[in-house]
Amino acid sequence: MNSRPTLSVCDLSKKFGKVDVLRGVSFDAPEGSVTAVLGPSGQGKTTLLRLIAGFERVDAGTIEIDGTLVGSPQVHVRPDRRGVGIVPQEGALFPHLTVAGNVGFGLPRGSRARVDEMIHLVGLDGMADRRPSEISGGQQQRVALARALAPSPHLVLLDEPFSALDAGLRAGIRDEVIGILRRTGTTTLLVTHDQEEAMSIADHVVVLLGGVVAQQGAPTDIYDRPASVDVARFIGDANLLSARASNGRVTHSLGEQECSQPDGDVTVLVRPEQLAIAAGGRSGVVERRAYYGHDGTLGVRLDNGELVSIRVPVDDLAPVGTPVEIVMRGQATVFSP
Amino acid sequence: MLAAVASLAPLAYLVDVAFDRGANYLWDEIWQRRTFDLVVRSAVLAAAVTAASVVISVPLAWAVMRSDMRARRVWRVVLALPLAVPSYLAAFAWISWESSLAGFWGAFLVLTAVSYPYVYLPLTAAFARLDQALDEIATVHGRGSVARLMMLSARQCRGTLAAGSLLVALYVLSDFGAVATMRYDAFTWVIYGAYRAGFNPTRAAVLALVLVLIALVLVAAEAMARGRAVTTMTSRAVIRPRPIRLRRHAVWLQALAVLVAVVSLAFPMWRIVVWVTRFGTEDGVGDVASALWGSVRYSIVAAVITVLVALPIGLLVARYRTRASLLLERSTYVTHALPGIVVAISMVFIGVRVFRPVYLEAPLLVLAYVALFLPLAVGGIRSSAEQIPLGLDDVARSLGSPPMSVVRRVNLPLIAPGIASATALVTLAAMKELPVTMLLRPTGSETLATRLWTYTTVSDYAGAGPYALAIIVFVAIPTAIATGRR
Amino acid sequence: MFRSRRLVSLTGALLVVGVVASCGGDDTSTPSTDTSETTATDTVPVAGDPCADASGSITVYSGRSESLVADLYTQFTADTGVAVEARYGDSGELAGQILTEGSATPADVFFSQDAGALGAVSEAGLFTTVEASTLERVPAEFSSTTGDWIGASARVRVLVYNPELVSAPPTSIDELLDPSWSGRIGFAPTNASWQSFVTGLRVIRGEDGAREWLTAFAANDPVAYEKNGAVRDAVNAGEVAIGLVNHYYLYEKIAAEGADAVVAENQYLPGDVGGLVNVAGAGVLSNSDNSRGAQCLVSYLVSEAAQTYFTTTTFEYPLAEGVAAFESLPAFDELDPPAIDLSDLLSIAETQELLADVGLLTL
Repeated sequence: MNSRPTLSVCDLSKKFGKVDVLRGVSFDAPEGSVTAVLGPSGQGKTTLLRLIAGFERVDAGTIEIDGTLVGSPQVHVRPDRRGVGIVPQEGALFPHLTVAGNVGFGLPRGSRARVDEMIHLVGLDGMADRRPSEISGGQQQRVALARALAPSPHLVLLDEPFSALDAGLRAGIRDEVIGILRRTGTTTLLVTHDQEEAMSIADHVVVLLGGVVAQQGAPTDIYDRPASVDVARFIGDANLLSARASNGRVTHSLGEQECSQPDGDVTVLVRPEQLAIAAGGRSGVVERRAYYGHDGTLGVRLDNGELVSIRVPVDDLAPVGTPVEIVMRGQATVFSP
Repeated sequence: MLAAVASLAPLAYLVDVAFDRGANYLWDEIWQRRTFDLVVRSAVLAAAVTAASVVISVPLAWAVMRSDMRARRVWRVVLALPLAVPSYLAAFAWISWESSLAGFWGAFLVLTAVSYPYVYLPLTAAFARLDQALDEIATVHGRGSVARLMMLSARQCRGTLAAGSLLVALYVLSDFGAVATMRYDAFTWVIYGAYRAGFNPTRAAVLALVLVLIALVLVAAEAMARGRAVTTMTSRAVIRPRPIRLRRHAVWLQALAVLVAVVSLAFPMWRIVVWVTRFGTEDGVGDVASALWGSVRYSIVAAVITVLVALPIGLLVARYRTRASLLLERSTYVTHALPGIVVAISMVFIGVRVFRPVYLEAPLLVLAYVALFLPLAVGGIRSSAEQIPLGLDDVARSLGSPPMSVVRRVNLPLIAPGIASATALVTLAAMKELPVTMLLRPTGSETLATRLWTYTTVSDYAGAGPYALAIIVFVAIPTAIATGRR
Repeated sequence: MFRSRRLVSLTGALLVVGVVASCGGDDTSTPSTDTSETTATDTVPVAGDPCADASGSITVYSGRSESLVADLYTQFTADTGVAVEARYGDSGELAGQILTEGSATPADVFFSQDAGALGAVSEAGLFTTVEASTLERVPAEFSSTTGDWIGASARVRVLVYNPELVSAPPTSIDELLDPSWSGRIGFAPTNASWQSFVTGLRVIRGEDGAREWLTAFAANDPVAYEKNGAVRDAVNAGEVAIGLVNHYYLYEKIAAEGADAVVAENQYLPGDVGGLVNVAGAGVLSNSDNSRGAQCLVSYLVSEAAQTYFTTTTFEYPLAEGVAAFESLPAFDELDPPAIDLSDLLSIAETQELLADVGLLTL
């Protein structure tokens, strides 16, 4: 990893009126990396992005891009001088310009070669003279990317760029766009509410909950070792069981293990894929059943009354009412209440 | 800011003159029986015309937008056209045919015929955006009768209906030509009478102030209604509704459409054709051409300047809803409450003292038009600017464009159709305009409106014919094109 | 802006006195009281040709229509070299415009269709005195008593009647109140001349007297027409027996359709209030920046050329001495109109209110 990050956000806060939208947000985006800011709607993601792009002023903290201070309570570099490319939610192509006109918007006049290069990069050769209304949603998104990349920005911000696309197209376009960003070595900040999207494409994930950074790190760290019950609940499916800690050990409905918590009530996280149907486990009855094609999930009511979710191969998808036995693999994560 | 000041100057004049003889005199004038009668007469006319406009517009707007009415695309345009008929022309056409129409019923007929499009037009737009599901639910629940569907749709669009109704009421209160021709003692006619006889400018100013106050209340109400109308119509889904079958209702709806078109369009046109063919023309082609040139020249110059002034205001209000920009917009809407005759008299007073070098020259007339029609242009530009997604500005900024460059490269090209239609609207409004043109036209020059007015006041059909024809052609045809494109 | 101007008073035929007229001052209409402040710098106007040193351009607010007087202005410019910029409009409206403009008015001359509008401007003190040599061409009773406007042509109110229906036409408007005329009288309630006549009635008989006559007239179910020409045509066609109009409508119809087509005749009303004479006339605005040119135009309006023009195109009576009226008209000095200061015909608003009150005008 590079010693100097392309984007460095430090202790950033923003209020709208009396409402704290962001409080003490800090993170770095290393050069050439893909960083995802992940969080549910209305938790400050878009505000963070607008602060970085320069559309809003900073109340407290600092924003540095390539080592230059661009935003602080005293300093505000205008958006047109930050060298930050943005790809908005629905592309936001200029409807009065052609594809080439859109791509070349941020370039000096007569940069036809660069425009062609960009159009080629996003695989839209031959469409330069089309209007935005004449191309598909996925193509529009690629034009928006080409337009953002054309002036060679320090940083590209993607604001929920795939959420407006049809589910069937989304994964393909997403892989393609991220592929291009990686190929060009562009430092990328992606804002999304889709945890699967963030986990699958980002090097680094910043989880933003209630205007504060709840956790940041590599996707696997966050999935496997969530910092809080809230993060755990937000990232992936979770069985959260209540239990008691006693003398460094915790006993819950699905097993028993060591823990570092002091004696008292705790919450235990068990991921559905840690569980399996097998003889000799805890017994219960299938209460719900969902089939996904490649696999499925079962909701099993344990004898003690707790309902747990289990990810199972298709062969194990027992009908509702079937008595089953459940075993757990690996360790559960234990949280203080 | 200059625009706002120009809009408010007439108001300052009114207050000044009204207090000329002291507050007591002012008070006595207001609390006179005849002032009260005047308020009642004007209010009755405004209420009657508004009610009739709603009664006409709801079924017709519904039929042309939601039903399978025959030739509904043609009707859509035809029914909007009366907007282009100057009220004094329509009034003259009727009264020259049947002189007993003079008074309330004539004024009511003519004003309804020319002002109902203020309800009809926004209503068609609102109906177009109305969710089809409502009709379907209503049908499923057995409330499928056409009349009930109409009522249901109208209730859904009551914000639009309220805003349109208030516009009609405002139009009636500020109209001069129709009440003057029909000799109905409404505010504007009495104000003109006081001015014309010339002995009591104080009374004219007092009455004008009362009228402006009433109109201001309507403007405020209209702004509120419009605010609500916007929020009720932000539904994103634009499903093209399946036309509802009219069956037996087709007959009366067609009949209503024909009746409205005949009263408001065909009849005045027929009268004009009769005048021209029976009486020929008194004035030579040269006179008509020079009046036409006057109309076209002043109104186009006024339209261009009005739109240039309206552009920053409309953009500011649409893009940045700050308190200052809203205030700026509101202040231009105050002029909306200033009837032409009031603006005209104020401009004579102010013009001769403050703008002496251009008094009764083209620049002052143009300035008066700008003050009068600024709200029209601001409204048009604002609504088209509001349709640009805000994200486009941000993207343009991030691509290195400074704010002014964003306006030039993104905003202006995108609101170009709005600018064009605002320019057309102001041009047409200025060509139709009577009282301001009459009092402020440059000495020695005439317009179609002033010529027509001169001949109508002496009931000279032969003289009026060619000017009436020219005004209809030059106002109605562009209106048809503009509404047809919508 | 302060300038002094020499005004000619009426106090002696050739006696020249000057007064100082200030901007917006109200002393311009009282020339006889002020004889001391003569300014020596102005050239002394003499009772000769007012156009002698006239030049440049003047603005005329013309209450007489373009079709009637445009040719006259053209001829005036050709004869005198003074260019005319005319603003045509309704006389009352132009008077209102001058009153609103006040002393800053750009008008140099106001040429009005009727005396009432001239009276309004005169009352506001915005006219200067018409030059003596011009005033003396017209009988004093047809100009302003203070000499600040001058009558140019006259029209008289008459009864137009159909001899097939009326054997002995009335000699007074009071006879029209007889029930035998019920439903047989035509009039034009919105017409300015009718309203001037009613104003004259108010001035002569007082408010109560006028109301009494109008109430009785209304009770006789007169038939309302939109204008005088329509009243005349209705009489000629026998729709109504008699009508209240101006004298010249009959001659217009004869000129247009030939004497054979017209059966109607005029009944003049000498010595009766119904035989009111009203004038079209003109005045010079006191703040005119080309008063020489303005005085020149006003004098031109009572010149032989202009007077003959009015006589032959409108059938109005010429007011200047030495010009013959249209041959079919009775002699002007036999009309014996009611004695009235024509400036008093200005209270049109009150007249309209009265008419509305007695139900003769729909407001």
